[in-house]
Amino acid sequence: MHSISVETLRTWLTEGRQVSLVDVSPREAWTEGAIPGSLHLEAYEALKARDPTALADLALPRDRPAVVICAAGKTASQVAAEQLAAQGLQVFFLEGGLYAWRAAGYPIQLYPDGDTH
Amino acid sequence: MASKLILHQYIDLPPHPEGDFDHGDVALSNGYVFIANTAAGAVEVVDGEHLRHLVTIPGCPEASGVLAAQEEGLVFAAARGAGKLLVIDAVFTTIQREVTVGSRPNGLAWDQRRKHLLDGPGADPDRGGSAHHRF
Repeated sequence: MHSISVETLRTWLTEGRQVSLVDVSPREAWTEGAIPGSLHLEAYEALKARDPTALADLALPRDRPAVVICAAGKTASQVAAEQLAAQGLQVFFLEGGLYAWRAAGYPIQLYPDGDTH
Repeated sequence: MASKLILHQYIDLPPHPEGDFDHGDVALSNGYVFIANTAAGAVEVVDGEHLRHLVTIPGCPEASGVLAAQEEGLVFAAARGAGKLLVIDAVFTTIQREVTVGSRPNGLAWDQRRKHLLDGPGADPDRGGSAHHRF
């Protein structure tokens, strides 16, 4: 499974690269600060359980890479990346996840209403 | 111990002029394979994990050397017929920049420590040695 660093993702976003950001972290982690432009999916538990239908309703553009994000960049994002890669997408999981992004001091976005996108 | 390569399958490419291919290399960040399509003056990109053709990058006359710089996420391609090198983003498969080198670049080598690209002249009798380009 392929991964990218938070530094690389930051560069892509700064350069305005077309990339799909999918956040599968638990709601609590996501509401503490999300990567701007990311789409949050309530799929954390299903991914941890390795449910093969966890992302069944997700349709991403195929003309750009996708980056999957979870809180720490471990289980959920890697399982999600595997499932999306199996669909033929170019997909990466974010090393260190949201925690690494925030620790680097990169911009975050708060969604006060906590609504999942 | 010798191992044997076994043909797994073919991957169709878009229609293109009959002729030669040259070097190829793999971007380890995503498994994409970049192949010099010399006859078409292009670089073909194949998804090596899903075994399908992705895109043709035109603008590489007499495409010859192809080399991935893994840590930089770049692929270099020598356009022998135009005397230039293409610098390709390995993930977005777009040309980031072109470097004019003046004389039929061919084989490429990457010095990771110095961030130097070396291009060799191949069988060009009018060109003596290799040239260095810093990235």
